[in-house]
Amino acid sequence: MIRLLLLVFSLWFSLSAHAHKASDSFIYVYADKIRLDIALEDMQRLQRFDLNGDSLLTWGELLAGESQFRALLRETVRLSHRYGDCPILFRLDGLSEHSDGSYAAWSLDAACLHETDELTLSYSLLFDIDPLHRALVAVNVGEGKTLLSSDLVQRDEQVQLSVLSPASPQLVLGNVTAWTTALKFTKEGAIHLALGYDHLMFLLALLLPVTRQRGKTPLRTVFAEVVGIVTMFTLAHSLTLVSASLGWFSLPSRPVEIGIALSISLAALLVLLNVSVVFQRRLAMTVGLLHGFGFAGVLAGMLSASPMKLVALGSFNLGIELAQLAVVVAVLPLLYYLAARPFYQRQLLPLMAIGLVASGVFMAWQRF
Amino acid sequence: MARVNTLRFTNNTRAILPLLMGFILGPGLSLVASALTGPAVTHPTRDEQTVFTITKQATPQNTLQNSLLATTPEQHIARAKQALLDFQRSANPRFLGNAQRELAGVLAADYSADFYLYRASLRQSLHQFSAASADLAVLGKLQPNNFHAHMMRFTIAFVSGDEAGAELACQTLAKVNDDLYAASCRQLLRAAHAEELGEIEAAYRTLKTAMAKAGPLADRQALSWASGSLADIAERAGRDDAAQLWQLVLSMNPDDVYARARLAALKLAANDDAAVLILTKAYLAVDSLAVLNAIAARRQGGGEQIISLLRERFNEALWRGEVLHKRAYAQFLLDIESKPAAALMWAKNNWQEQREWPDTQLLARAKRAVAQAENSQ
Repeated sequence: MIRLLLLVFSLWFSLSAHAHKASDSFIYVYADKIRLDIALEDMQRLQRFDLNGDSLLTWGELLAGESQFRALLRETVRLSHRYGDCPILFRLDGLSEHSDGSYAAWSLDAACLHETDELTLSYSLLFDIDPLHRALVAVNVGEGKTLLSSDLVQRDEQVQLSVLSPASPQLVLGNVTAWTTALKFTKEGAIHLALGYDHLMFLLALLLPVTRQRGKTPLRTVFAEVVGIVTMFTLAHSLTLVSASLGWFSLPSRPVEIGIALSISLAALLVLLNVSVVFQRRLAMTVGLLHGFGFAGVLAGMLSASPMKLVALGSFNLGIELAQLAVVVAVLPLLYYLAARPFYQRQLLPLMAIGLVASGVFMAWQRF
Repeated sequence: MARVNTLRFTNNTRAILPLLMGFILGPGLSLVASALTGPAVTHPTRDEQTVFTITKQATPQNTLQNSLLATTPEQHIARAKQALLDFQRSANPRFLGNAQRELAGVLAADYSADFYLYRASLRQSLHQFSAASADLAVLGKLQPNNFHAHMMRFTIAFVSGDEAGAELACQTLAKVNDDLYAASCRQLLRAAHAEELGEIEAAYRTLKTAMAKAGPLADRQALSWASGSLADIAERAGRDDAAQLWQLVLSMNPDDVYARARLAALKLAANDDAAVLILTKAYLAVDSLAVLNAIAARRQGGGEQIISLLRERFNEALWRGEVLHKRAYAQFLLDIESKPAAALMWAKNNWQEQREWPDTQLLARAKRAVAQAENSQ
């Protein structure tokens, strides 16, 4: 038993440093066609091509299994545009030699490739049996991100390189401009903030303390203070959102989600302690770092499909900031008005704070 | 997250031009300019033409189907273990994918000691050392005397340069079973931390004595492990018998690609190119051995084919964004591509993860090469 297990433990040290090439497919995208190279070893993992069982796969056997494999490709490799799926014709073109051996070269023809619309390429071949499999994609694009035809490969073209994986199986192709990306992701950021009740609750917990200043400070000053706090929050979560989205640094989602829930309780608890604006800014900065990781989890899927990540990230942050300011504009005057009432200061404010503390703890318990 | 990188090309050759901006922008954004068209497509003329030979490394379809139908946690874990063993035997990363699939099929409520053990092994193989250590910590709580967990803990800590962690794992290992494994880890640590040659020599003698006491009838795996440790210490001491010791490890297990690479590296350092070519010839799918083969072949006036293959292989790894073989790549850049600055960058990057003796040597060589290049300018 020990001997067997010790093999698993890699008796000698860094085994993977000696392993050979990982399982990859290669996708080359042009305006008139897509070429997909799949390792014959991987095809054999998906379908038994060796009909006579002699462990030698012949070209004839490959052709005999082509039709069945094509059906699998139709399910796992897709192109879509705004009108829905775009039919693809798969054809086994021949063989190609990559660094680790022979690949089957498939030709993919689709009418929508010639359109100037945004196209989305989806790939999930092998992902269910090998989560470490990847598709390495080279998209040949010209000026304005339009796809280049295979017979128009020039000396000064651009290639967009990407990697499709189980976590990000989609890629947007074609005419994607910075402006459309910015609009799309600004909207997504705003929507996420609006639907993200935990972030909204934290924002509310940040707003409540300033309403204690009713009578001492004019609304304009209070508003400026709140905008400052909210912007600190945005700057902080932007930092971690960008870090996590670009793969520089990340944290496991469960502790992050629990932390976000507890941050609501903490901020609400401080409402009862009547903390200073400076302290609140610091809190917003610190806790904002944590919230950024939460935003990143939501953004990952969308970002993976976008060829303009930096524009997308910036716009997503802008969308969150705009939505936050909208919430402030909508809620702060109401709270400021209510703050003049003794009922608010004595009962409603402590009640809301306690409610937020309890909600945060409850959410943390649920996420544990 | 899919990475999309855009670069301008100045030619349309098939050569891949790696631009390693990853060190500035982080590993997630390594920029790579790539071939535009892929390799040429050929059309076999005869149906009988063999296009692929199915070996044990290729997973049969029926195994896969059974695997996807596996329902109990025990079945998943057993298959994960088999996949890890297959990876150990073949060095084919596809088996790691199989192992990951099987382990993903186990529900959290069913996580057992074996589950954590095999997941840690998988993560270690994928260089996810922190995650592997976390699994081993859980395993340590479930089974405080689990010998394998402590062995793996020691290995990870030692390789990654975590002196305190390695010491602790070694001490715990000795408490569980004070045998050749414990003696090996003690003397490896002693040699690794030694400031004087005499101390390394003392570690060598102590371990050799322990092996002699255990005798030739000792557990073969334990002897193999101890011999490898002794060979490592001998290299650190600059002893002439290091190569013989690696040869001994290899004779006990000819499939041990680690020992083969260490032996081939020693032969290369001794300018015994013929021996390097013999040792590596059948292992060109293994990056570290292929790089040594390429260096030896070039010294003999050839090697164009393997160099071209390696260039393509490394560039594909850069495109994928997962260069696990950093030491091999740094050596390739240093000794084949003659790019000392890039080699030093990768050697340093490798040093962040792995701090074995060959990593130390390579880093020092790359630093010297950069200094020489600067002086000559």
